[in-house]
Amino acid sequence: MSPERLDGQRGPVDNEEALLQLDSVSRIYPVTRVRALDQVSIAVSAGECVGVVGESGSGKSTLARVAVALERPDTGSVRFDGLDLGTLGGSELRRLRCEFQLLFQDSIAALPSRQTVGRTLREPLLAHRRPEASDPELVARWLARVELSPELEPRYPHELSGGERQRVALARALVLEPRLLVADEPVSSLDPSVRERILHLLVRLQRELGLSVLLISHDLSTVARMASRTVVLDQGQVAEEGPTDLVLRDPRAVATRRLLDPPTTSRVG
Amino acid sequence: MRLELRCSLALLLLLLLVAVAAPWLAPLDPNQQVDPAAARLLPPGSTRYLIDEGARTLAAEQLSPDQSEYLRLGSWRSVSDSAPQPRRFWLGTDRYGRDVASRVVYGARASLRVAVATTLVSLVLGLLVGGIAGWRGGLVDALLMRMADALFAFPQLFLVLAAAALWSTGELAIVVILGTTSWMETARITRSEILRIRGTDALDAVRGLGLSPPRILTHHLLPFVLPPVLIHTALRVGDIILIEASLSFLGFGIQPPNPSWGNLIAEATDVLDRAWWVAVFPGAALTLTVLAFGLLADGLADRLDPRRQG
Repeated sequence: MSPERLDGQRGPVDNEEALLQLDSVSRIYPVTRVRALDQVSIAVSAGECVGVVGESGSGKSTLARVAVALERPDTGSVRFDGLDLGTLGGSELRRLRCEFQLLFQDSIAALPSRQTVGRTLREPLLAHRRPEASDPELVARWLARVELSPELEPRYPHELSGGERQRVALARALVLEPRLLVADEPVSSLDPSVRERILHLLVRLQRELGLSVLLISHDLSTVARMASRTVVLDQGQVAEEGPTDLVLRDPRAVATRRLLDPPTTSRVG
Repeated sequence: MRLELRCSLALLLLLLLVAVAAPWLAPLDPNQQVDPAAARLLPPGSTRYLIDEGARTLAAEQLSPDQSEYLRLGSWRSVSDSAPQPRRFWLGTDRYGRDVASRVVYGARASLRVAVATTLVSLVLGLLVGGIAGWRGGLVDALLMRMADALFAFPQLFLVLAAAALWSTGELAIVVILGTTSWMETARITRSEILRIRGTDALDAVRGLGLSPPRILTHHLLPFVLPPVLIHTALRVGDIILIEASLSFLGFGIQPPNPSWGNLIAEATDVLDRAWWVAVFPGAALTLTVLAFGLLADGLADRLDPRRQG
């Protein structure tokens, strides 16, 4: 099935300038034989924010994991800055991971429960032997950057609120100064007021750091806040893609309409 | 440092000191049979007057006021050359007239040596096998776990006896045999913990940060795997001391008359109805050791998990 594109073209995006390029990526889970991704092609250019929306089970989280090489696609390729991630060896891939990071939905699960905030923020730099790791101001600087008090440095994740944890997770993802951030439902587990502030922070940091962002959400309004382009996933396939305002204003795919006007009995998770 | 960790370290230090300083702490040679006829199964706190008669030592119950005669086994006899030396048996004597206190103190050496060395062997093997099985998964996991299941299926004592019969009966042999037949539970716990952590966002997050496998292992897996493994291992120390006792009893392991807590308890079974102290004191030492290791494991688990720090 060819995705609907609202820029007048049909078929997958082909962007030679893309920082991240997923080409005809398919991912089938071996035991359940569930086809989580089916011939998905997405490109994210430098400095661009691309939104990916879809209902529960549409393949969004698998896409996030494949995009940052936590899972390998069964077919197709994932290229970062022209490098095919599938062809890289373990140490090459580990080095390249500084360039792209994943922000998880559930920060209490994603942050190491037995490390303090300070240790958590220093660890990526220590692991990559970056000289900044020994900078005594590093943690306070990054905490300030995500609008947190430096007093949180000795705290453990379970001693923080949900919003504080997500900010710490964001700081950890950005401390290596990646060029691409894949944010998988970064605000969906937060209260509406906290959600708004985190989204505001994400927008600010994207602008300040010139980040490319692949923003994954089930909520079109979240994506509309940040993404210039939006891809709609439905059952592992790209159902529609195009400029976000056009996708919102004139949805063509059934999946997009369902997201815009969900039936009360089948609200997405 | 938490109270239980401090208590456990203090207890273990005390046990270690007792084991190391056994020659100075023990009142008598642990294997010396002090007059088996007159000094057997003396209750704790009994005093006897030891009279050195060259080839043998006699234990007198009483001395005459002028110390020229002594009472032994109901009859008075004259003291010959050497002057009688009063000796209090603080923990009593066993059926051969050996000093229980000396045997318990010396028994700490063999028992702790065997228990700690065996525990280390099984801990390292269990962590390795369970770690590889849990991390690699698939065929490697299946093969290693079936091997563990096969070893589980045999009673450990049978395996140990078979190995001991084929090989050797020294202390090193016992350590190797017990260590290589008691790693399976540690491997199971390690594997299940790693499988549990492998599927979590926490591990994917650190993989995504580009951490090397050794760093992931030491900083993000071991802190989760070690607490349950350490608690299990600490509780196994007592079992190992008792298995060693069974082996000694069956003619392998630490051979009588050399004392270990295990063989002291095993030897006491025949006289338990008449002389509780022969079993109770080595049993108490064993309980104290297991308690110390248990507290150590619990304290370490608390140290490794900030959520458990009050």
